[in-house]
Amino acid sequence: MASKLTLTGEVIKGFWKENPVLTLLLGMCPTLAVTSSAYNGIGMGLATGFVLLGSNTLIASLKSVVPRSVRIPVYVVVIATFVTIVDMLLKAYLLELSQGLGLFVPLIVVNCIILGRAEAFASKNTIFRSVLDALGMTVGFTLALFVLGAIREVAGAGTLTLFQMGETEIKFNLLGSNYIGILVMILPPGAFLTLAFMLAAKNAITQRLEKKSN
Amino acid sequence: MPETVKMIVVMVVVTGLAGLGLAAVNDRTSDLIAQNARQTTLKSINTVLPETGKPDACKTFPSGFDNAPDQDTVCIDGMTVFRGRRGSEVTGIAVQAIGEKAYAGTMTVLVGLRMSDGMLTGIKVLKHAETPGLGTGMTKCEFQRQMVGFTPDGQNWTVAKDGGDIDQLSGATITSRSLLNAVTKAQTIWKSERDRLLSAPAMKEGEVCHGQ
Repeated sequence: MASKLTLTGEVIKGFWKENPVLTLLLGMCPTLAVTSSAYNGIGMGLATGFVLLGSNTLIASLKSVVPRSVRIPVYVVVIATFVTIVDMLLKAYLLELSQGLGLFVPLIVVNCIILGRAEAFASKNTIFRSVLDALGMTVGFTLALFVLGAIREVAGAGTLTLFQMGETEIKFNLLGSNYIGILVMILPPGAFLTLAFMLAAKNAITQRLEKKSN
Repeated sequence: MPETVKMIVVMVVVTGLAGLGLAAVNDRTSDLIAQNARQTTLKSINTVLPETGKPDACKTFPSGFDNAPDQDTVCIDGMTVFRGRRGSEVTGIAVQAIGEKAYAGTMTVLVGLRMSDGMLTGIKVLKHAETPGLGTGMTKCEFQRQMVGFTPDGQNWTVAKDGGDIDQLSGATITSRSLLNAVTKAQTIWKSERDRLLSAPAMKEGEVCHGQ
C-alpha cells in the first residue's frame, strides 16, 4: 500500500500519478467554478492547500485518540475550523482574491479532496507522511487549477493574471488589447471543455509512458 | 473509559479547541476586515462623486468632498444615500440603488449625482450577476460615457430600443435597461427629496436601511 512508498514518492504521487484533479477527479466544483483566471486558480489551490495541510497534520496526530464512530464529525470540525481561518485571513489580507473566489472559499469545507485525504490517508499514516501527502496534493491541485485558469483566461480574455492586490498586479496582456476573447472560455462551458482536453492529454501522455516502459 | 464517554470527551475537547482557535484568529483579523470593507465603500463613493466640473467616465478625478460620506448617510425609500460635503454644504449624493429586472436577478448600483443640478457624476456597479462579456460591458466607461455628465432633463433616460437616448449594449438590452432603472431611481430621489437630502440627520452607526 501507500506506506511502501519512499518519502519523496509520497510527495511526488500528488503531482501526476494521483493528481487530485486529473486522476482522482476530486474537488470538481471549485475546479470548474473559480478558474476563470490564472490567479484565481493559484489562489484557490493555495487556500485549499492550507486547509489540507492543517487538517492532515491534525487528523494524523489525533488518529489514536479519536474513537472510530465519531471520526467523521471530528474531521468535519477540524476542516471547518481551518476553512474559517482561511476565509478570515483572505478577507483581511488579500481582499481582491477573497472577492474573486467569493462563496467558494467557505465551500472548501465540502471539497472531497480534504475529507478524502483525511479518511483515506491521514487517519492511517504518520504525521510526517500526512504532511508530505498534503504538500504533494496541494502542488498537484494548484498546478491543475493554474493550467486550467491560464488556458481559460488567455483564450477568453487574452490576459494572464498572476497576482493582484490593491494597485499591485502582475498581469500580462499576451494577445494585445484588440483581442476580443472567446467568450465561452470564461463561461462555465469553457471550464468543462478545457478540463476535458486536459484529461485527454493527461491520459494520452500516461499511456505513451506506459508503452515505453513495457 | 467506556466508549460513549470517550466519544463525548473527544468531541467536546475538539470543538472547544476549534472555538478557541477561531476566536484567536478573529481577534487578529476583525479590525482589518472592517477597515477593508470601509475602504471599499469609500473608494466606490470616490469614483462616483468626483470634483465639480464636467466629469468623464473614462478618467479618474480627485474626490469632490472633504467629509466621510460613509458616515453621513440617509435612508430614503429603502435606499442608502451617501452625502458628500464641502464644509457643511452637500455637494453631491451617492445613491445605492437597485436595478430591477436585470438579466440575472437584480443589480446594486452606486449612482453619483451633483447636488446643484442633478448631473450624473459617476456610476459604479457594486453587485451583479450579469453574463460575462455581454452584460458586464455596463461597467466599461465607454458605455457609461453616454450617461455621465448629463442632467436628469438633459436627455431621455431610456435605451434607444425604447425610444430613448442611450445606446443599449449590443446583446445586453435587458442589462442596460436595469442599469437605467437604478439611475432613474436615484434621479427621482434627487428631484423629490431635496429637503431630506440637505437637512435630514445622518443615520446612526449600526442602523440598517431596509429594502436593500
